[in-house]
Amino acid sequence: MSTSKTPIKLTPLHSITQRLGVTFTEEQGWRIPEVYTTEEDEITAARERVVLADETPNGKLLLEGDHAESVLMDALDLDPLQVNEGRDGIYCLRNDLFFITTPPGREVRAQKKLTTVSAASEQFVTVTEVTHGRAEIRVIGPASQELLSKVCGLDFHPAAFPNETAKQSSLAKTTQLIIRRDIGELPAFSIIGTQSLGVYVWDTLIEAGREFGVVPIGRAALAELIKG
Amino acid sequence: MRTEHDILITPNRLHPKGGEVIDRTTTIRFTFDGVEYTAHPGDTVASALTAAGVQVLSRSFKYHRPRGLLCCSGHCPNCLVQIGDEPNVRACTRPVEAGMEVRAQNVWPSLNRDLLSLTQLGSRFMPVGFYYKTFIRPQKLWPLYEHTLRHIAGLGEVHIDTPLGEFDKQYLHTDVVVAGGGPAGIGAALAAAEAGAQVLLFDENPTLGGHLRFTVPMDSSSPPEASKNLPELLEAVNHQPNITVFTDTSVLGWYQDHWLCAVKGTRLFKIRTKSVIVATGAYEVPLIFDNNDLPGVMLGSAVQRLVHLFGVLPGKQVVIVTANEDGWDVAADLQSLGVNVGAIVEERESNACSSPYRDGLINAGVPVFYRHIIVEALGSNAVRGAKITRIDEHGEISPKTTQSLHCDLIVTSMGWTPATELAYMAGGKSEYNEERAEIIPVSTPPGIYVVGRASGTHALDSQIAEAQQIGTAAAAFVGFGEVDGLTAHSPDISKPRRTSERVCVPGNKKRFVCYCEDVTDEDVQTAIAEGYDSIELLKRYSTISMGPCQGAMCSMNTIHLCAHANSSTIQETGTTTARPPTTPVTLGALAGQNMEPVQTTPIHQWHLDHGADMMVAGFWLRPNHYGDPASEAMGVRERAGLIDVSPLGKLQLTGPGVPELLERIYTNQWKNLPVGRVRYGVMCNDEGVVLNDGVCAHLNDETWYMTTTSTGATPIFEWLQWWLQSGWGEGIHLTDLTDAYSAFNLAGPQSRAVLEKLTDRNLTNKAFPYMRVRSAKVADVPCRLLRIGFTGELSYEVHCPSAYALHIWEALMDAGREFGIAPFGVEAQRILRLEKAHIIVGQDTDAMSDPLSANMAWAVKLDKPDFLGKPSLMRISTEGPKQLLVGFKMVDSDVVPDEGLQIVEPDADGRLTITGWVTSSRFSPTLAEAIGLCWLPPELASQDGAPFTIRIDGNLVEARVHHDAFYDPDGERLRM
Ligand code: FES
Ligand code: FES
Repeated sequence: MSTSKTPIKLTPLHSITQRLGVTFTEEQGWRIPEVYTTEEDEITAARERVVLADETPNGKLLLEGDHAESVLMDALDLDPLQVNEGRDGIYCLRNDLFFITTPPGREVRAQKKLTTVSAASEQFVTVTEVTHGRAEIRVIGPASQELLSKVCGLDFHPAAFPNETAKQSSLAKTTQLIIRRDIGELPAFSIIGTQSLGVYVWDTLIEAGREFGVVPIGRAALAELIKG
Repeated sequence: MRTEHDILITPNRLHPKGGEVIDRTTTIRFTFDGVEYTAHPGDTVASALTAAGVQVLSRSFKYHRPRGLLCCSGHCPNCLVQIGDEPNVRACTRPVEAGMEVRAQNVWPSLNRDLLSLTQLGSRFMPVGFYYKTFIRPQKLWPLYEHTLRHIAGLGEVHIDTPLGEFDKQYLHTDVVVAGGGPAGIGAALAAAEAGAQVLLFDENPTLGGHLRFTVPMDSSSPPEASKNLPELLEAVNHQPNITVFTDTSVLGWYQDHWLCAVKGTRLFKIRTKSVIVATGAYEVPLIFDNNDLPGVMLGSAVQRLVHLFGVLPGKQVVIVTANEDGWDVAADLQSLGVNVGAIVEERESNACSSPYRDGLINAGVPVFYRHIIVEALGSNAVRGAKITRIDEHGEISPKTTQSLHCDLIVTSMGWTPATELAYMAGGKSEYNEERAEIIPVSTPPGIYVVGRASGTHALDSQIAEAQQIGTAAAAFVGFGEVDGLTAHSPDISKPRRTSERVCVPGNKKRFVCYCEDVTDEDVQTAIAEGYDSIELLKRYSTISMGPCQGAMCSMNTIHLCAHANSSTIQETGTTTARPPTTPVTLGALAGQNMEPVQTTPIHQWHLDHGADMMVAGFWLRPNHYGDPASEAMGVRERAGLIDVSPLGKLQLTGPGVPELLERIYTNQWKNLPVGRVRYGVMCNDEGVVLNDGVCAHLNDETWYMTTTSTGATPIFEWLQWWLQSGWGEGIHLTDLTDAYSAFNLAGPQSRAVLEKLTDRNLTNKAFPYMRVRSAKVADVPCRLLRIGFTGELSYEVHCPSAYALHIWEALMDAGREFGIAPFGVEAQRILRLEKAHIIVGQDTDAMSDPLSANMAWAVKLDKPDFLGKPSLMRISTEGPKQLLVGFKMVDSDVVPDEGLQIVEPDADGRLTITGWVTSSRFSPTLAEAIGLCWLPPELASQDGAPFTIRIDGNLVEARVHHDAFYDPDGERLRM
């Protein structure tokens, strides 16, 4: 067997970001954009207008089964899934189907834990990792609600869509899971859908956001925003 | 100050005054029919042209009569022009821009000398509905009629090569929508917002204020405070955080559950609200008299708009025709601006007139003709005078008393009709109010309110009071404040403005009821006499109210005429049904931004970088080929090729119930498939029609991995979900992994050698035989390997986590370089599979094809207990198929028939009977001959080598039935 290259994980938006001449960084085996223009400009754009961040590397698991909730609870008791920077979350898609997001790389441990607990419970519960199958784009900034209202029929007002809640909806004629994950005072929404539609959804958001001055931001600016 | 030059080029422009919306410090230029004109920023195309003395802006739809400004509010067809590539622009509402090229539309050869107006000469041969009766015979002449009619009638030109505009849509959510930003709308919005409701306030004009923007009170003691306080009202709106204002925005329609649609230029809004306040005002009603469509006959509100907003006076000598106080308001307004009011023609007796301006106007020497009415507008291309006549004691006109007045502008102020379409769309009920001679809403469904002129309330102080009440009620309805029980509103009729039901003055020239469709009073009478005497039938037969203004100018008058002709009341006559859109909207705005989802595989960019010619397959973009599909196919046959098959559907099924499910959804056996094995299967629906096909791999005790066709991934996932939710889901979990895994098919005699370089897994035929699945690390990435072969060669499908796709693909290409590997696209794959006579579901099968007929009986086990489609397939098995899918070779090996061509059988007389059709065909580079698949009658299909004929471009070309695969029929190369 011969391989010369170390495997590297690329998000579906990699070719777009590559064309923009960004600097890349690596995190948990993923190559992700570090900075597009300057960190300061990107932070300003997020605070004053609206930005897009590629957060595809966040771990994603599906937990399915009539007893999924109890397995989830047991797993949390044993080893609570890391709640870190507002990126961890458990969302009930159906009574017997949960969507779990983790920071990049944490999905492996979470999957192991859930599988162990599920096996011990002797209940029919399936844990499936779908990180590679989903693109995740975070729309951040004061104009994020208005931008999204051009492509999605949901009411994004915080009264109708509170922080840390999720809805499944049609967005630009595709099915997406939308999670509100504000960053401090900044409204922010994670758009999670099949990775093969990632480029289309990104391009559509850029197009819809042109009038609001939307720009992409890299990991550095995002980390700063989260830090506050 | 106006200079002499200004006066020369814009003779109708008044001296500057307050309230104008134009910026006189700047002058811009534009053209109308090639002639250059000047305008000020803020001018509309129509105001600038009127300032320059242009009166004729368009020609009418049918008779090509000259038409000029009538309503100046975007509610009639008279000012429709073409601007650049955009047809049917209303010149009176479209702001003029520097360099704009405006053209008259539907004229030949020119606006001022439109020879098509000669159609008027034959108008007596073209009564209402004449085209229904005339142009149906002889039928074969219809193309000629159609061509001619389209040339003569129609509105504007659409250029096919016009670049696509940038249209988009936006969803809005709110508590209360207020449609209409006049004083009533503003008042209601403020009241609702102050109670705590979120309010969206829409107005079709560039600024809020409604009629307060241009109806300046003449007597400071009489106007209500509110009109003087418009700036304060606007200020209050600006400072109210709960109100969002959308100007230049028309609310087009109301739909179920308060779902509204509005348009602002190129953007369409879809609005979800809890309550709607209709404050859309009223349309001023035109009077029907001889030549009432002559340029220079205008509505009072139109003249006031021109004068106050744009500083433009459309005439020098004005005759005002009225039947209520509004006409006197207009007269006083114009006179105060120094306009020569030549006469007031008042339908009422002098003692019925209570206008506060009456004495002032009379004292100023304005002649007043009480109990008179206009009978004719004089002039050919524009008004040059008015004929008026006395009304006798029976209310009839007395022709003997007719006299002519000199004027160049006739202003009619006869009354209003509420603009209540939205309320009626929502289920509101109306009644005819005798005192007002208006049809006004009397009840509305919960959450719908009507206010201001739309509800029949004309007096400003009443409007303001009513608005407060309605706004508070709407807020309470959506949960802000107490519900006060207000459901419907009684209009304030203490100050009636309309006192006459006279809508039409008899005469002997053309009197237009519907300006949009060129329908005259005589047409209406004829239609009613022909039996179209209900208002809905009359509308459909005459096309009245079906034009661009959707009846804003003609509905009320038509109802009056219909009632009169039928000797019935207005209430008995009723109204036509209001439907969206209330105002014309472009198809572009309805379509919105081009959002066609496109799916790309993780190595899409690699394909582009390597010269792939991409094709659309479902929503996917896939490489069709990389330059030479035949060479790509040969590369696979001789060496190794790699194709991106990531779009294949990939479903994971887990649980003890999976084998039972597979038995039910596939036509063959599954319970006996050991772990590590892969099997091909066909899925059918209840009718036994082929739905999809693919392989399913048994990964471990309780996990199965199913692939479907690329376009079948989502439908099959949903179909399976349906069965799982409908009782077959016990002990089964289903997950769509189509996007989680990318898949590449490494095919060709060298494929094992290529893959061996990247994995430690033993790939020998013994360790990893045909139709097996294995887990293996490939280039250090955990993958699933499926040894299957659609191409007919030794091949491996490598399924890897999608984020590693580029890494794996490049590793395979690098590893294969020494073996001459090359990428191949969908076209090469199609050639290769055809050489193996493998079918493609959806191409070789259709909505009638069952697997027994489609040459896949080997994949159908009718001795299984049950499966989807079994009863139908049992029947087909007993009765025998009606057609069979079979391979064929062309006798002339260079002729490749197109897919879809008919297979025919000539009879003794040379007449052809269609007996089948070609579904797939290619020139096989491996066999150097044309091959294909086709449907044939069973008796023909069952004979290997039987000849039949395909009709190609009218010629009959011979082909022969071919059983078995064309290439490697024993499948040895797959198993090597
Ligand atoms: S004059 Fe322009 S629409 Fe009536
Ligand atoms: S006047 Fe416009 S539809 Fe009749």
